[in-house]
Amino acid sequence: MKRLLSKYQARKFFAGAFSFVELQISLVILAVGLLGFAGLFRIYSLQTRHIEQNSMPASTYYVVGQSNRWMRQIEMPADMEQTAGQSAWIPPVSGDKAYKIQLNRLSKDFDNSTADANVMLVEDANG
Amino acid sequence: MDKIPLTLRRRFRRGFTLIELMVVSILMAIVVLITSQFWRWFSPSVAEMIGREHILGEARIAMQNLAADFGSAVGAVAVGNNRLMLCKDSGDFPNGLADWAAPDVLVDYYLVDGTLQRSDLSTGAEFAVADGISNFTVEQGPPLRITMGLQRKGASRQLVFIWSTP
Repeated sequence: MKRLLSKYQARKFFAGAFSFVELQISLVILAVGLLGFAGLFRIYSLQTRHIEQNSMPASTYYVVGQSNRWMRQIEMPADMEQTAGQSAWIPPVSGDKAYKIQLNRLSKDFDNSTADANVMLVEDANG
Repeated sequence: MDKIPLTLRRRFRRGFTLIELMVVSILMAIVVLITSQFWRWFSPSVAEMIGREHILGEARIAMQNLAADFGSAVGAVAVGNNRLMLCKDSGDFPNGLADWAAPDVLVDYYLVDGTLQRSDLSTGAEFAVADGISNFTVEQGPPLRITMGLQRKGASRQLVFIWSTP
């Protein structure tokens, strides 16, 4: 039998598919990629828990209403304290001079939980 | 190609052998099995993470609403054990007392199908504050104690709000 090509030349000529080793390596790379993907999610999960801890660290909150009637007039939110014994609002004492609160201007910034108000006290004749 | 003898052509035929294909199939099956096992472990964590985010958002909204109403509240009572009624000091001259009538504003919180509802009894305005609420209980105390449970996709959280009357 006359050979026109050497064995090696023929193998190279017909080689078109992946070799077994190549396939194995690709599978290993795929597995490593999957593990890396899982690691990303793990980091994301930890970050979410971290945000949760920062933004809402406690399970019990003590609601402290506004002690100042001006603050109640402009509807300032209560303070959410994490420890008990914070000063609650003080009830009005009889004999206090009564004032009518005239609200001239009010702007609320909900993002920063602040309010800017311009009020005027008018002595209340009936108070 | 025509000049290459048939024996050589057969010997160096393009493609995989049967054994190679079988081994690759087995390897692929093992990879699929590992991936599915991994996904079974991983999928609940993803769901829980999504639920946790949702709960966090809803809890913050509920908390902000309660804080806004409790800020000017001078009276709070439990109606039954799952309804909260607030009396907000209001009017031109807030007297600091819970009158439970105009000009004070009465606000009602209650649970409907997992949604915390807020109703302003003075104006009749009503809206949903937060959803995913599994329980909302109010104990008169003193002190008045509100317990709110949130649940979604495997994640749950319980918040307690304590309000001290003066």
